[in-house]
Amino acid sequence: MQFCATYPSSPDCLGQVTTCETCHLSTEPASWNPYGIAVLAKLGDGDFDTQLSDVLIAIEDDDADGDEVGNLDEILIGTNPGNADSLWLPPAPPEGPDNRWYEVGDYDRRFAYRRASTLYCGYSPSYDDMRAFEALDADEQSTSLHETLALCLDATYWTSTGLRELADPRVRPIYAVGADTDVQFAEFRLVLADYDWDYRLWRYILSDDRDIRQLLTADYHVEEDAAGDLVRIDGVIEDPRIDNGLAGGQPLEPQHRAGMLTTQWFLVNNTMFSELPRTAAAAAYRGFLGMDISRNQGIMPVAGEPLDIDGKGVSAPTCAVCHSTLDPLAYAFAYYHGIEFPYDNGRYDPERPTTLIPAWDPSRQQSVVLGRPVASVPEWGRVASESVMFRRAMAGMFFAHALGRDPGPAESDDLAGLIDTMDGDAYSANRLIHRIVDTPSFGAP
Amino acid sequence: MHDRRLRSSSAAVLSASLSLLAASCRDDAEPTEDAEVAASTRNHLVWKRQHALEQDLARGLELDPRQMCRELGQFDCVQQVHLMALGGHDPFGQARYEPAAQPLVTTSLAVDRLALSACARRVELDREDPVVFTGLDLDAQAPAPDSAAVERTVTTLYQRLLGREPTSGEVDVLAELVADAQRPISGAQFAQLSCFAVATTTEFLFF
Repeated sequence: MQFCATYPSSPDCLGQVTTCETCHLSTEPASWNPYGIAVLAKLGDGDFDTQLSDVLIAIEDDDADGDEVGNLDEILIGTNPGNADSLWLPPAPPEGPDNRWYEVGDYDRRFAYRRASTLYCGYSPSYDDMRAFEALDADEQSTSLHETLALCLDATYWTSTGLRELADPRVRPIYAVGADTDVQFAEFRLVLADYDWDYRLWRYILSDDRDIRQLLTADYHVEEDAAGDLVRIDGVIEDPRIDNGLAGGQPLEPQHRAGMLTTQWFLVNNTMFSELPRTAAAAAYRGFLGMDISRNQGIMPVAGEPLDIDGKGVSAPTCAVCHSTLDPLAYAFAYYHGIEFPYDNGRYDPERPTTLIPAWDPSRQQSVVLGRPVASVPEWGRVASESVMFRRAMAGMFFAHALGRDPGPAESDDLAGLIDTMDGDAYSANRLIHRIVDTPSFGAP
Repeated sequence: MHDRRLRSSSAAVLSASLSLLAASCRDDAEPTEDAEVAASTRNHLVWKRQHALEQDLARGLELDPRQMCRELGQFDCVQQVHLMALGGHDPFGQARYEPAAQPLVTTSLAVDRLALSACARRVELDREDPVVFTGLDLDAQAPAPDSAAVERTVTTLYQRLLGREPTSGEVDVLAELVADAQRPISGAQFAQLSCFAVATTTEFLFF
C-alpha cells in the first residue's frame, strides 16, 4: 500500500494493488528480486511501516535489475524494477518518405474506421464504404466513424456474439449441467442451473448505455422476447423443471441479489459444495475487479485473518498471505447455497454457515472487500462496483479487446483516461467504446 | 497430371508471395508508388479472428459463409473444425473460455485452407454466373500478364478483399502467375491463385 501511496501515478497502482512480484521472487519462503534486495539493504534495521516510502525514494535513481532503465522510470512506466526481462522502450519515431496510405504515428481516421468496423460490426468496410469515407473532410470523417460505431454497437453481431464472447471467461458455462443437458441423474435431467440468464444479464447491461455497475448490483433478471429483444423482468424466477430438469430458474429474492454475483449459475459453478465459498469470492474478485488472487494480485490483508474457520489449514504460512484477503472476501457468500440437491441450488439460507461450519460466529466472520467491511453480498457488490478497481477492470477488458492484447506502457495514459471518464459517461459501455476508438492507441498505426 | 498441376500451382503461389514480399522491401532509389515509405514502429496490428475473417471472405467474394469451406463436405471449417486455430473459442462444447492470445502453429494452415476453399468455391460458381471473375474466360488459358483482363481481375480482388486499388507493382506481382509461358495455367487457376494470394496477405489477415 505504501508503494502506491508513494507512486500513485504508476500503472501498477492504477485501479489495482501492486503485486508481491514488485519486490519478491517468492513470499513463502520469502525471497527477493534485485529491487527487493535493494529496498532491504537501504532499509537496514529501519522500521518497514514508517520508513519504506523514504527508502523507495532513496533508490529511485538506481537501476536494481541492471537493464539500463532506472528504478523510478520503470515504476512510472509500469515495468518491474527488479526484473531485467520486464523492459519497455518507447517505439522509435517513423522515418522515411511520407506514407500515402497511413498516417503513421498519428491518429488515422481511415485506419480507425476500418478497425472499428471489423471489431464491432464483425466485418471490414467495403471498397465503396472506404471511398465514401475518404471523400469526407476530417470533421465529417469523425462524425461518420462514430455514427458507424453506434450502429455496430446496436447490431446483432456485437450485442449477441461480441458481448457474449467477453462474458465467457466470467460465466464459464458447462454444457453438461446447463439447461440443455441430456445427462441424466437418477430420474432427473442434470440441469444444475441455466447460464443463459447470466449471458442475457451481461448483454443487457453492457448495451444501450446502461450503467455497467449493475453487473454487480442488479436485483432483476433479463429475458429475450419473441422478437429477440432483451427485456428486464423482476422477482423470483421459479425453476422451470423442463423435462424433469433439476433447476434453471433464479430462486433469489431481490434483496439478496447482486447482479452477476448471485445468479444460480454463478453460485452453482463457483460455490458447488464448499462450506466457505472461497472460489466464488475469488471468481468475483478476478472477473469484475480484475485481480486474480491465485496470481498474488489484489492482496489486501485483513488484520487477524485468516481465521481458518472451516479448518482447511489456510493459516499455514504459505497460504496465509492470500487467505488473509480471500477468506474475508468469502464470508458473505457463505449464506448462499451452491449445489444443494434436490431443489435448493443457489438459494439464500441465513442458517447455512452455522449449519455447515460449527465454529462460525457471525460477530467474527466479518466480510471485507477492498478494505471495507460489508454485511452481505449485495453490499459487497455495491462497494466493488463503486471502486476504481471495477472501473479499471471494465475499461481494461474493452481496451484489451480493442487492441487484441493487454494494454502496455505505451497505452497507460489512454487507459487512465478511460478509467477517469467512466463516471462522467454514466458508466456506459457504449460510451466507453466510443472513447476507446478515439484514443491514439486504437487509431494510430 | 493432377499432381503436376498442384505442384505448378504451389510454385506459382510461392513465387507470387515472395515477389509481394520483395515488392514491399525493395530499396529502389527511383520514387514510385511502390517505393519504401515511412513504416509503423508501433507493432500494433490486430489479428483478424474467425468471425471477421469469415465475413470478409464471404462478403468480398459474395459467398454463403456456410458453403465457403466444409471439411469432408459436412463440418464447417470456421465454426467447427478450425475454430481455435482461426482465433475463436468454444465455451460450451470444449470448455475453452478464451481464445488464443496469438496465432497458433496451425493458424496459417487453417487460413490457407479457408482462403483456398473460398476462392475455389467462387471460381466454381463463377463458371455458371460470373460475379467476381467477370473479365476471365475460366475454361480457357489464362490471359497474358500485361492484358487488361489480368489487371481487371487483380483490381477487382484488391477492391473486394482489401477495400482499395492495387498499385502497379502489386498488379505486376500477381501477373507473374501467368508469366511462365512454359507452364501455362488456365483462367480458372489464375482466378483461384490470385484470389488466394490476396486473401492471405498480411493486409487481409491483420488490421
